[in-house]
Amino acid sequence: MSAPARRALDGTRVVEWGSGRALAYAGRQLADHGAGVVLIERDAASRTAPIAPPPGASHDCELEARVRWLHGGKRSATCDPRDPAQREQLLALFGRADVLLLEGNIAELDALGLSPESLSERFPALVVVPITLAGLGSGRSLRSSDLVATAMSGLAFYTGATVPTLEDNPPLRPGGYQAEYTAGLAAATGALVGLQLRRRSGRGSLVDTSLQASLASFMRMTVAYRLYEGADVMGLGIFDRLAPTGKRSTLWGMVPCKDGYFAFQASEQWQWDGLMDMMGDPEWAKAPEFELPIDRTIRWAEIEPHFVGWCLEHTKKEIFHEAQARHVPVFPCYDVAELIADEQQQARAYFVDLPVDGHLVKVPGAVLHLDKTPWIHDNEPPAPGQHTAEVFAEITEVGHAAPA
Amino acid sequence: MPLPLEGIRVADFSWVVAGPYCTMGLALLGAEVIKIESGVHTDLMRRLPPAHKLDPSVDGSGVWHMLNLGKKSVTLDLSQPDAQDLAVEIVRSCDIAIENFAYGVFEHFNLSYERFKEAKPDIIMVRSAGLGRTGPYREFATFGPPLTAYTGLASVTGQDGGAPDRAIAGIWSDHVSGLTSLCGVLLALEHRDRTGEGQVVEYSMAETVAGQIPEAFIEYGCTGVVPGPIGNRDRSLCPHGIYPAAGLDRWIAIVVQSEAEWDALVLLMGSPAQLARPELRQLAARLAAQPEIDAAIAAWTGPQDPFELAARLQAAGISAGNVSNCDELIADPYLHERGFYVQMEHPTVGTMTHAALPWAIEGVTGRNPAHAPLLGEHNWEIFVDWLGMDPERFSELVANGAIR
Repeated sequence: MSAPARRALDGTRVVEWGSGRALAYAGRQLADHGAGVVLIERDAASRTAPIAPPPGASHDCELEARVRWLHGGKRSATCDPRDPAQREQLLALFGRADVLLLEGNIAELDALGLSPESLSERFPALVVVPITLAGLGSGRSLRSSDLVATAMSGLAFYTGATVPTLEDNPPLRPGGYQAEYTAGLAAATGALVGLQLRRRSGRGSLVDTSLQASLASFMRMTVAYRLYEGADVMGLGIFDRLAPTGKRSTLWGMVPCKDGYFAFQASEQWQWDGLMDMMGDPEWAKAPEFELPIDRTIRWAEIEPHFVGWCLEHTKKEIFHEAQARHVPVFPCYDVAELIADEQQQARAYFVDLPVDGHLVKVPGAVLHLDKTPWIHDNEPPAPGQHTAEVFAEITEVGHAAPA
Repeated sequence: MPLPLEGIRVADFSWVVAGPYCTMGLALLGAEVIKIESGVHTDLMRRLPPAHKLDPSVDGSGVWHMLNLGKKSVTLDLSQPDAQDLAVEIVRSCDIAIENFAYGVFEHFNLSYERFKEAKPDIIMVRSAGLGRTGPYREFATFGPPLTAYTGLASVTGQDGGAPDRAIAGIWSDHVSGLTSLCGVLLALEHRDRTGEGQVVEYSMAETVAGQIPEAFIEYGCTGVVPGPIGNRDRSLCPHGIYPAAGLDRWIAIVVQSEAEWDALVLLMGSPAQLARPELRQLAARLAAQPEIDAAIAAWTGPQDPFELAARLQAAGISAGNVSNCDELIADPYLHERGFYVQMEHPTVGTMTHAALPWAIEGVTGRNPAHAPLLGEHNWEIFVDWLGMDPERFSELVANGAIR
């Protein structure tokens, strides 16, 4: 046995080639756990275009922070694969890597003879992880985006409570860029799957990662409802966006209170009993027609005025702590400032300082805590092409060995 | 060809969604996963609808099946010392142990990482809690759907300028946590394979979700303004929306990401004077005119079939896709051609379709898995055939309720 590695992926060589938020996040995941990640960029714009903040006064600050968060700790080499000499250098680099993450215009790669399939065939020890909207099949050249992936995966249709009218309330994407970050996490995980497969087979593999499938894999409960009973048995309003059972204030929705909103779960009787105890054991709740969870779902319109009426007199933190004292899963709806200030997050030191433009911005830190191989994020991103000479000089070095 | 995790054994103490999604991933990738569950206080998912009409028992739920494909089941009453000893014996032959009980429950059963490590020095142990296993809220009751309110994600989800909305499609917190957990397991396996050293992997479900909205924290840090819901709009792109299509509750998502794509869209729309103005080729001008642009696009898309229109837009290089409902998701050709849906042959409910994993890997994914296990289906196999327990002792332990 060799000496213990400081981080889980020390010694693993990763090439991150192309442009996209999912790609950048996948590379970040592996870099923060010790992999040496080389970012191959055509030009400076290929890095910033897919993650650009809006024009305006905060543009530069937000862009710098995004780049630091996504690309800190990587090396950068510029390369244009349309140039035959540079293409050969790139191929030589792939030949020395353990993992190739790629995202971009697949049709262009196909035309250059650099399709993911051909790279996987040419470099049999390489784990090739292409990230696309809908995979490498008939939709391989589809133009990707976070919103379209969210739509095609079924996620948009079922995000949000049911609505009073369809025409004024389109399906909704969850905030931020959930399709791209989820696919990035899936791609990083897929790269690790490929490394395990290589350890057993002696060969690399093609780990086809699609934004659509990454999100669709999360939609398994909705699929099961449809294929087993065909009905919205939990009354969540997931098949019919007009269903009264899926209103905003019902199970898992957003209940208004004195200073905002909170969410609760009371699918089990003891959870509902805890809520009613918190509310002072009100008379209205003793009506036999509200006795069972399914009854309460169906008759929520009758319950709502009583339930919400009490909530409007109490703050979300009061409700949070009073319900949790009764072991009922209730959570306040926090905005980002409230979450940063929350005492649990303060105690866990989850948010870390990112130095940007002379001040510090609080950003999410370590998600995975491995007690022997810690997560470490280097906040310093490379300048585009900063390591071009260094990276391609290494191609000629002898003695690269894949991790045992 | 071997499977990526062939030869890996997992002692799976996890339940509900996040842990089981992770361990189902391990099973579908080739690991032998032994689900250690209570025969009395069964996994919540065994009891939730949709129950299959052919089997309304704890073995027939669709949501149980969808999260436990390919696993084995043993039943232990972990409150009994004999059962606790058997759990340790199972761990002695495993590479990974995973649990996601409420804080303190595992220790209440006299089980711990230290005890497992004594039995299996290089064991990898994954532990999690809704708000993390440290901090003042570590004992708070958690279920994934209401937890989303706490994470900041719900505060940036909702119709443009409206109130926060639920962000629970895909049982979001649980599945993001499950995928994160899978990533953590594979990182720890890499380290163990190289060094022989096991370790503890810990994560908070809330932090996995908050970790995927870095732009919201950065926006707040750079502008001092707390971000709220912006619907399907994007701060940096226009057009970027979900627009009506022909039919009831039919929609299409369209995203323009460059001037060339804007030109292509305007051309496809027949170059209406309202949109063909030269100044709208600039992003800043389009963002300023967003309501007007969205209204024009909605009028154009409204009478059109979303699939046909998406194909035309994609052919012009514009990111577009149908907003899939559940039935369209189940029929999606891109998902089918990558083997995303698998068939489960179950002893009581027959053949059922289930969603699988984010990746397509030749020879690995797309295989039909073993059925989700019946309660205690593998007791004899694991305890007698595998651990070598005397059959008389097995009968004694069944009789005294340690195995049940």
